[in-house]
Amino acid sequence: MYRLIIFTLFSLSLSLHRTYAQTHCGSVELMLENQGNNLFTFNDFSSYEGGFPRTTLARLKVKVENKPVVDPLCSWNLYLNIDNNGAPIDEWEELNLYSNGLGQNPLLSILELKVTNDCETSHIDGNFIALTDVTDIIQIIKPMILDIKPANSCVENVNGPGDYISNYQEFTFKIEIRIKPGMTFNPGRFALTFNFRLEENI
Amino acid sequence: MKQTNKFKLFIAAAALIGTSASAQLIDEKDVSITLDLQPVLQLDMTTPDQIEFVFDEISEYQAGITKYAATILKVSSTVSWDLYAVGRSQGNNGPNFWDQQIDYGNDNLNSVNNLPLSLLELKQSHANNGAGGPTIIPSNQKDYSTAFSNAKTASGNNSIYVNGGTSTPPDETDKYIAGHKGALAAGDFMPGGSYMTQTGRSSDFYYAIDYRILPGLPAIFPMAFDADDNAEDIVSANTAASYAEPGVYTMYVQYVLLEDQ
Repeated sequence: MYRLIIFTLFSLSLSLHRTYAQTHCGSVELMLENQGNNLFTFNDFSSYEGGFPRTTLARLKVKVENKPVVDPLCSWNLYLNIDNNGAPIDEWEELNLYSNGLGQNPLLSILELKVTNDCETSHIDGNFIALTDVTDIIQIIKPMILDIKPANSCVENVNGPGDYISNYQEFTFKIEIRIKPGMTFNPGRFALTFNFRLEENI
Repeated sequence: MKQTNKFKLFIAAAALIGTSASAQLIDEKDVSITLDLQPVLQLDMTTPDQIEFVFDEISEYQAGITKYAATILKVSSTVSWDLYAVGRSQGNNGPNFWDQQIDYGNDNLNSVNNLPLSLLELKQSHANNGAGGPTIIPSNQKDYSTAFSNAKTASGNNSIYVNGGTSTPPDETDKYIAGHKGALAAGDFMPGGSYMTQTGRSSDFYYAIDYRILPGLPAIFPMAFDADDNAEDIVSANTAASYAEPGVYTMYVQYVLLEDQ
């Protein structure tokens, strides 16, 4: 019985210690720089039909540090999901309508997103991705723990430790969007939130 | 019993260890964007300032005068819409009549200067594709796309909509150029769009309007019918001996583009 209590206390202390410890990396940090106005106003036919062709929304800067005792499995992934505050999954969140609202609220599909950096490390680099609904998770850097691409290799899916200061072309991501609403949706004010998440791979 | 407690403690400890193994470093950032879709509803009209119908030949009285494609209507809208025409005047002779600016002749007792606004006929270049909702009787009076009738056949198919001198929208059974009254029934509106992107002479965003006035002999305007298809010609509205008083008359056509109602 005594040995069992000792074993249990040891396990408990070990688990408490590990709750605040990372699996492989020392720290991960994601910085987001807004690149200007995030309000897109459509008030004439040119803007409705032509849309906002290409607008930089934000720049993401990644910083991932290894532990003092280097763990060769320290790697990370980065992804994006979308929040429309509970609206139907394929629509923008409605803030208010300007008309009788009998039509269709804007669909997510009017928005396309592009992620890029100098080394084209994202597998979706350079391509505008059309969104379909809020259940979409867009992997910018894929979670590949057994296939670690070290910093400064300038290849696809660089996911080893590093930071935007030493390896700007791999650890910085430019987020561009384009919106082309067309003329079939309800007039009004609508919103979306992009949630960027940096995780260490486990 | 002791063995059971030991086993439970062991399982609890193992579970705690297992839970802690999933700890993971994460950082998140959010950015929100707002879309401001402001409504745009625009009617472009190409037309002369004045469309004159001068009747100074018997044949013109008998066959009428037609002004082909005198008005071009072009629509751009970001909302579902309806388009209609309504005949109006200053109301000097009454809200449903042309304004008489001057009269010719000797004011014969049978000459009538109250010419109904509905004597003006319209013909739109192609049918209204947004009137699929309520049942419209007669079915060819959902719009102005029916060909002008023969001069010998009185018809209200093309008589302009008039509503007591107001610009109130036509009812469910009345004529619209595009779309129709009612926002709930399917197909009783025109969807948003623009003539700029949906081109062609049969585009639902482009209409050429012909005008006709047919006085007849005697000049009683047999094509004048009200919105309920009741005859409003000079004889029906007055006496059998009545005819239109010669003179100069004016009225105007108001084209109204509005969000689907």
